[in-house]
Amino acid sequence: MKLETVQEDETLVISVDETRIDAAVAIQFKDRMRELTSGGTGRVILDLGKVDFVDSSGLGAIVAAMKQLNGGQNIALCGLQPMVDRVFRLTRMNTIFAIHDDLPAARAAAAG
Amino acid sequence: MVRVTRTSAKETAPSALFCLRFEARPLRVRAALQDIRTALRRTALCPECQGDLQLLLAEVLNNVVEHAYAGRAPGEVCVRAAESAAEVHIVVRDRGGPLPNEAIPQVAPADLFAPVENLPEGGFGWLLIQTLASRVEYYRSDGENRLELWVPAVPA
Repeated sequence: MKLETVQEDETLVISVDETRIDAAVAIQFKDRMRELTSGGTGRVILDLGKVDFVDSSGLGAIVAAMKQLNGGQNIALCGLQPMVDRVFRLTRMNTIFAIHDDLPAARAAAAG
Repeated sequence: MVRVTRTSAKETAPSALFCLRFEARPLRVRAALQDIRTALRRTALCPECQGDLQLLLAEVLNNVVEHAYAGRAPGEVCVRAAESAAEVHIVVRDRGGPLPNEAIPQVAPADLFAPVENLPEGGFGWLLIQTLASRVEYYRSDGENRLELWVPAVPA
Protein backbone atom coordinates (compact mmCIF):
# COMPACT_ATOMS: atom_id res chain seq x y z
CA MET A 1 0.00 0.00 0.00
CA LYS A 2 1.81 3.08 -1.25
CA LEU A 3 0.77 6.42 0.26
CA GLU A 4 2.66 9.64 -0.50
CA THR A 5 2.55 12.58 1.87
CA VAL A 6 3.23 16.28 1.53
CA GLN A 7 2.95 18.65 4.50
CA GLU A 8 1.66 22.02 3.29
CA ASP A 9 1.55 24.45 6.23
CA GLU A 10 -1.23 23.12 8.46
CA THR A 11 -2.49 20.64 5.88
CA LEU A 12 -1.20 17.09 5.40
CA VAL A 13 -1.90 15.87 1.86
CA ILE A 14 -1.93 12.07 1.56
CA SER A 15 -2.07 10.74 -2.00
CA VAL A 16 -2.96 7.10 -2.54
CA ASP A 17 -0.52 5.76 -5.14
CA GLU A 18 -2.60 2.64 -5.86
CA THR A 19 -5.51 1.90 -8.18
CA ARG A 20 -7.53 -0.09 -5.63
CA ILE A 21 -8.46 0.12 -1.97
CA ASP A 22 -10.13 -3.26 -1.62
CA ALA A 23 -10.48 -6.17 0.81
CA ALA A 24 -6.94 -7.35 0.01
CA VAL A 25 -5.33 -4.13 1.29
CA ALA A 26 -7.95 -2.51 3.56
CA ILE A 27 -6.16 -3.34 6.82
CA GLN A 28 -2.81 -2.17 5.45
CA PHE A 29 -4.44 1.08 4.35
CA LYS A 30 -5.99 1.69 7.76
CA ASP A 31 -2.70 0.96 9.55
CA ARG A 32 -0.65 3.20 7.22
CA MET A 33 -3.18 6.01 7.67
CA ARG A 34 -2.84 5.71 11.44
CA GLU A 35 0.97 5.92 11.19
CA LEU A 36 0.77 8.99 8.95
CA THR A 37 -1.87 10.91 10.91
CA SER A 38 -1.12 10.05 14.54
CA GLY A 39 0.17 13.01 16.51
CA GLY A 40 -0.96 15.43 13.80
CA THR A 41 -2.99 18.52 14.53
CA GLY A 42 -4.20 20.06 11.28
CA ARG A 43 -6.30 19.17 8.33
CA VAL A 44 -5.80 15.99 6.31
CA ILE A 45 -6.60 15.80 2.60
CA LEU A 46 -6.84 12.29 1.19
CA ASP A 47 -6.30 12.42 -2.57
CA LEU A 48 -7.97 9.41 -4.22
CA GLY A 49 -7.27 10.60 -7.77
CA LYS A 50 -5.40 7.44 -8.77
CA VAL A 51 -7.90 5.06 -7.17
CA ASP A 52 -10.42 3.60 -9.62
CA PHE A 53 -11.99 1.03 -7.30
CA VAL A 54 -13.06 0.99 -3.64
CA ASP A 55 -15.14 -1.88 -2.24
CA SER A 56 -17.01 -2.02 1.08
CA SER A 57 -13.83 -3.07 2.93
CA GLY A 58 -11.93 -0.13 1.44
CA LEU A 59 -14.78 2.19 2.33
CA GLY A 60 -14.76 0.85 5.90
CA ALA A 61 -11.01 1.51 6.06
CA ILE A 62 -11.48 5.11 4.91
CA VAL A 63 -14.18 5.59 7.58
CA ALA A 64 -11.79 4.04 10.12
CA ALA A 65 -9.06 6.45 8.99
CA MET A 66 -11.38 9.33 9.80
CA LYS A 67 -12.37 7.87 13.17
CA GLN A 68 -8.79 7.37 14.29
CA LEU A 69 -7.93 11.07 13.84
CA ASN A 70 -7.56 13.01 17.05
CA GLY A 71 -9.97 15.78 18.08
CA GLY A 72 -8.08 18.63 16.44
CA GLN A 73 -7.86 16.97 13.05
CA ASN A 74 -10.34 16.65 10.24
CA ILE A 75 -10.22 14.95 6.87
CA ALA A 76 -11.38 15.86 3.39
CA LEU A 77 -11.40 13.65 0.31
CA CYS A 78 -10.71 14.64 -3.27
CA GLY A 79 -10.38 13.21 -6.77
CA LEU A 80 -13.07 10.54 -6.52
CA GLN A 81 -13.33 8.64 -9.81
CA PRO A 82 -16.84 7.60 -10.95
CA MET A 83 -16.93 4.12 -9.40
CA VAL A 84 -15.45 5.40 -6.14
CA ASP A 85 -17.92 8.27 -6.02
CA ARG A 86 -20.72 5.73 -6.61
CA VAL A 87 -19.75 3.65 -3.55
CA PHE A 88 -19.82 6.74 -1.33
CA ARG A 89 -23.25 7.75 -2.67
CA LEU A 90 -24.81 4.27 -2.47
CA THR A 91 -23.81 3.98 1.20
CA ARG A 92 -24.53 7.69 1.82
CA MET A 93 -21.01 8.14 3.19
CA ASN A 94 -20.80 11.13 0.81
CA THR A 95 -22.84 12.98 3.46
CA ILE A 96 -20.25 12.21 6.16
CA PHE A 97 -17.09 13.34 4.36
CA ALA A 98 -16.11 16.69 2.90
CA ILE A 99 -15.54 15.74 -0.75
CA HIS A 100 -13.88 17.98 -3.35
CA ASP A 101 -13.44 17.55 -7.09
CA ASP A 102 -9.66 17.74 -7.04
CA LEU A 103 -6.66 18.67 -4.92
CA PRO A 104 -6.69 22.42 -5.75
CA ALA A 105 -10.37 22.60 -4.71
CA ALA A 106 -9.61 20.74 -1.47
CA ARG A 107 -6.66 23.05 -0.76
CA ALA A 108 -8.81 26.12 -1.41
CA ALA A 109 -11.48 24.81 0.99
CA ALA A 110 -8.78 24.12 3.61
CA ALA A 111 -7.41 27.65 3.27
CA GLY A 112 -10.85 29.25 3.33
CA MET B 1 -42.62 -17.16 -44.60
CA VAL B 2 -40.93 -16.97 -41.20
CA ARG B 3 -37.35 -15.87 -41.17
CA VAL B 4 -35.29 -16.38 -38.08
CA THR B 5 -32.20 -14.26 -38.24
CA ARG B 6 -29.08 -14.64 -36.14
CA THR B 7 -29.77 -11.24 -34.58
CA SER B 8 -33.25 -12.06 -33.30
CA ALA B 9 -32.04 -15.33 -31.81
CA LYS B 10 -29.29 -13.44 -29.99
CA GLU B 11 -31.80 -10.99 -28.55
CA THR B 12 -33.98 -13.62 -26.95
CA ALA B 13 -31.55 -16.26 -25.66
CA PRO B 14 -29.34 -15.36 -22.68
CA SER B 15 -25.69 -15.22 -23.67
CA ALA B 16 -22.88 -16.21 -21.34
CA LEU B 17 -20.71 -13.29 -20.18
CA PHE B 18 -18.15 -15.16 -18.11
CA CYS B 19 -17.63 -18.26 -16.03
CA LEU B 20 -14.79 -18.42 -13.51
CA ARG B 21 -13.73 -20.94 -10.89
CA PHE B 22 -10.93 -20.23 -8.42
CA GLU B 23 -9.72 -20.68 -4.86
CA ALA B 24 -11.40 -18.25 -2.46
CA ARG B 25 -8.46 -16.04 -1.41
CA PRO B 26 -8.30 -12.20 -1.43
CA LEU B 27 -5.74 -11.87 -4.22
CA ARG B 28 -7.51 -14.50 -6.33
CA VAL B 29 -10.71 -12.47 -5.98
CA ARG B 30 -8.79 -9.43 -7.19
CA ALA B 31 -7.50 -11.32 -10.22
CA ALA B 32 -11.00 -12.66 -10.97
CA LEU B 33 -12.43 -9.14 -10.80
CA GLN B 34 -9.85 -8.01 -13.36
CA ASP B 35 -10.95 -10.86 -15.65
CA ILE B 36 -14.58 -9.87 -15.07
CA ARG B 37 -13.77 -6.25 -15.92
CA THR B 38 -12.17 -7.40 -19.18
CA ALA B 39 -15.16 -9.60 -20.01
CA LEU B 40 -17.62 -6.78 -19.29
CA ARG B 41 -15.74 -4.39 -21.59
CA ARG B 42 -16.62 -6.67 -24.50
CA THR B 43 -20.34 -6.28 -23.79
CA ALA B 44 -22.73 -3.55 -24.89
CA LEU B 45 -23.46 -2.64 -21.25
CA CYS B 46 -22.96 1.01 -20.34
CA PRO B 47 -19.89 1.91 -18.24
CA GLU B 48 -22.02 2.61 -15.14
CA CYS B 49 -23.69 -0.80 -15.42
CA GLN B 50 -20.27 -2.46 -15.87
CA GLY B 51 -19.01 -0.63 -12.79
CA ASP B 52 -22.01 -1.68 -10.72
CA LEU B 53 -21.52 -5.32 -11.73
CA GLN B 54 -17.86 -5.18 -10.71
CA LEU B 55 -18.76 -3.69 -7.35
CA LEU B 56 -21.57 -6.18 -6.77
CA LEU B 57 -19.32 -9.14 -7.61
CA ALA B 58 -16.51 -7.77 -5.44
CA GLU B 59 -18.89 -7.70 -2.46
CA VAL B 60 -20.29 -11.17 -3.10
CA LEU B 61 -16.87 -12.76 -3.67
CA ASN B 62 -15.29 -10.99 -0.67
CA ASN B 63 -18.11 -12.35 1.48
CA VAL B 64 -17.27 -15.88 0.35
CA VAL B 65 -13.60 -15.37 1.30
CA GLU B 66 -14.22 -13.55 4.58
CA HIS B 67 -17.31 -15.34 5.86
CA ALA B 68 -18.20 -18.59 4.07
CA TYR B 69 -14.64 -19.94 4.33
CA ALA B 70 -13.78 -18.15 7.61
CA GLY B 71 -11.96 -20.51 9.95
CA ARG B 72 -11.67 -23.28 7.37
CA ALA B 73 -9.37 -24.08 4.48
CA PRO B 74 -10.24 -21.91 1.46
CA GLY B 75 -12.22 -23.89 -1.07
CA GLU B 76 -13.43 -23.08 -4.51
CA VAL B 77 -15.84 -20.41 -5.60
CA CYS B 78 -17.54 -20.50 -8.96
CA VAL B 79 -19.12 -17.44 -10.57
CA ARG B 80 -20.94 -17.23 -13.86
CA ALA B 81 -23.02 -14.54 -15.51
CA ALA B 82 -25.34 -14.47 -18.49
CA GLU B 83 -26.98 -11.52 -20.17
CA SER B 84 -30.44 -11.34 -21.68
CA ALA B 85 -32.09 -8.28 -23.20
CA ALA B 86 -33.32 -6.92 -19.89
CA GLU B 87 -30.98 -8.18 -17.20
CA VAL B 88 -27.74 -9.82 -16.17
CA HIS B 89 -28.16 -13.02 -14.16
CA ILE B 90 -25.30 -14.02 -11.86
CA VAL B 91 -24.83 -17.31 -10.02
CA VAL B 92 -22.15 -17.66 -7.33
CA ARG B 93 -21.50 -21.07 -5.71
CA ASP B 94 -19.16 -22.12 -2.90
CA ARG B 95 -18.86 -24.95 -0.38
CA GLY B 96 -18.15 -22.83 2.71
CA GLY B 97 -20.35 -22.30 5.73
CA PRO B 98 -23.95 -21.15 5.24
CA LEU B 99 -25.19 -17.60 5.69
CA PRO B 100 -26.39 -16.98 9.28
CA ASN B 101 -29.85 -18.56 9.65
CA GLU B 102 -29.38 -19.74 6.05
CA ALA B 103 -30.91 -16.47 4.95
CA ILE B 104 -29.94 -13.25 3.22
CA PRO B 105 -29.18 -10.69 5.97
CA GLN B 106 -31.58 -7.81 6.49
CA VAL B 107 -29.58 -4.60 6.30
CA ALA B 108 -30.37 -1.04 7.21
CA PRO B 109 -28.48 2.03 6.00
CA ALA B 110 -25.98 3.46 8.48
CA ASP B 111 -27.18 5.97 11.06
CA LEU B 112 -25.63 9.09 9.57
CA PHE B 113 -26.52 11.19 12.58
CA ALA B 114 -24.44 9.09 14.92
CA PRO B 115 -21.29 10.68 16.37
CA VAL B 116 -18.20 10.09 14.22
CA GLU B 117 -16.79 7.55 16.69
CA ASN B 118 -19.94 5.42 16.25
CA LEU B 119 -19.90 5.39 12.45
CA PRO B 120 -19.86 1.86 11.05
CA GLU B 121 -16.68 0.51 9.47
CA GLY B 122 -18.43 -2.57 8.15
CA GLY B 123 -21.82 -3.79 7.06
CA PHE B 124 -21.62 -1.91 3.78
CA GLY B 125 -21.26 -5.10 1.75
CA TRP B 126 -24.81 -6.45 1.94
CA LEU B 127 -26.17 -2.91 1.71
CA LEU B 128 -24.37 -2.53 -1.63
CA ILE B 129 -25.45 -5.98 -2.84
CA GLN B 130 -29.11 -5.35 -2.08
CA THR B 131 -28.98 -1.83 -3.53
CA LEU B 132 -27.30 -2.85 -6.78
CA ALA B 133 -29.25 -6.06 -7.46
CA SER B 134 -32.92 -5.92 -8.39
CA ARG B 135 -33.38 -9.43 -6.96
CA VAL B 136 -31.26 -11.74 -4.75
CA GLU B 137 -31.98 -15.40 -3.96
CA TYR B 138 -30.04 -17.74 -1.69
CA TYR B 139 -30.12 -21.53 -1.60
CA ARG B 140 -28.27 -23.89 0.71
CA SER B 141 -28.20 -27.57 -0.13
CA ASP B 142 -25.75 -30.49 0.11
CA GLY B 143 -23.09 -28.26 1.70
CA GLU B 144 -23.23 -25.74 -1.13
CA ASN B 145 -24.16 -22.05 -1.05
CA ARG B 146 -25.77 -20.73 -4.19
CA LEU B 147 -26.45 -17.02 -4.47
CA GLU B 148 -28.36 -15.82 -7.52
CA LEU B 149 -28.51 -12.14 -8.41
CA TRP B 150 -30.24 -10.16 -11.13
CA VAL B 151 -29.10 -6.72 -12.27
CA PRO B 152 -30.85 -4.56 -14.88
CA ALA B 153 -28.87 -4.62 -18.14
CA VAL B 154 -28.42 -1.02 -19.24
CA PRO B 155 -26.90 -0.68 -22.71
CA ALA B 156 -24.43 2.06 -23.57
